[in-house]
Amino acid sequence: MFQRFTHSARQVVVLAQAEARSLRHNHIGTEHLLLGLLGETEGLAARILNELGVDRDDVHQGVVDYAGAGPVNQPDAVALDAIGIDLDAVRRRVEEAFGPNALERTRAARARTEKHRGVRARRHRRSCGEGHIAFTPRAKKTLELSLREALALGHGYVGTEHILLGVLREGQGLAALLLSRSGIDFDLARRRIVEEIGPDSNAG
Amino acid sequence: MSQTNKLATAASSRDPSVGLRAVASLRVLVEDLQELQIDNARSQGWSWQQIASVLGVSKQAVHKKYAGRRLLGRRR
Repeated sequence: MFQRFTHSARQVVVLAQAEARSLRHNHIGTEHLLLGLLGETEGLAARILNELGVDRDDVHQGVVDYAGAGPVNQPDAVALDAIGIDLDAVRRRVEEAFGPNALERTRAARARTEKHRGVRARRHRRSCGEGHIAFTPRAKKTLELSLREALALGHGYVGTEHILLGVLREGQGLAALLLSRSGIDFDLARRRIVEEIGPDSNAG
Repeated sequence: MSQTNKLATAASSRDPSVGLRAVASLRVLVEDLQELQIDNARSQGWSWQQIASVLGVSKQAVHKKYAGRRLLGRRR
């Protein structure tokens, strides 16, 4: 699948995976591909998206709004403060009874055990930056479409611009939703990209 | 702003993201404490049945989740 991808296009996929991981999501969707496209600033897609007024931080916020972020892995003292729980006080009491870092040790031991157990293990590996995150069917479709777009334009490679064309063509995923929320006219965007690369050009 | 004032302000916040973040953190904290206490109970010779009845859950639920893990016990 990725043989024909340019360096930048591969970067987009790598970044998409990193975005999914940092959001603690257990899939790579079209929204992560879009964040990857925006993050790979060397790529033509990022430039075109910027010119069309798509802002990376807005898209990121949109992803959080629509899809949320994955499970929290450790208690947040500030968040607990908000409901009147003093995490430091809890920790002090626990340590008086069970020794230094008892809470952290428990959590670490749980993480070690979960490494070897089903769903929680996978979730843990993901949250720790290990393991494989699968593409959603839509993201897979988007990547297939990007290859098809490249071939249709007579290009022997898949660049970031083709992935963007794939996102626009797929048209149904969260990426497309966020793009249309940014006020993008898909036909205009497609024309803009094709103008930029033309048949047989050598963009990234 | 003093620490107390800051807390009072946060506690009275109606911003869902403040409250929900607190709940998510609390859930993790509960998980940590539960595991710590169960491990302690086991190392003091409590049965799964005893632990489950104090926690108010079924014996199977506790056993399924925690059996086979020896946390603090391991370092002794």
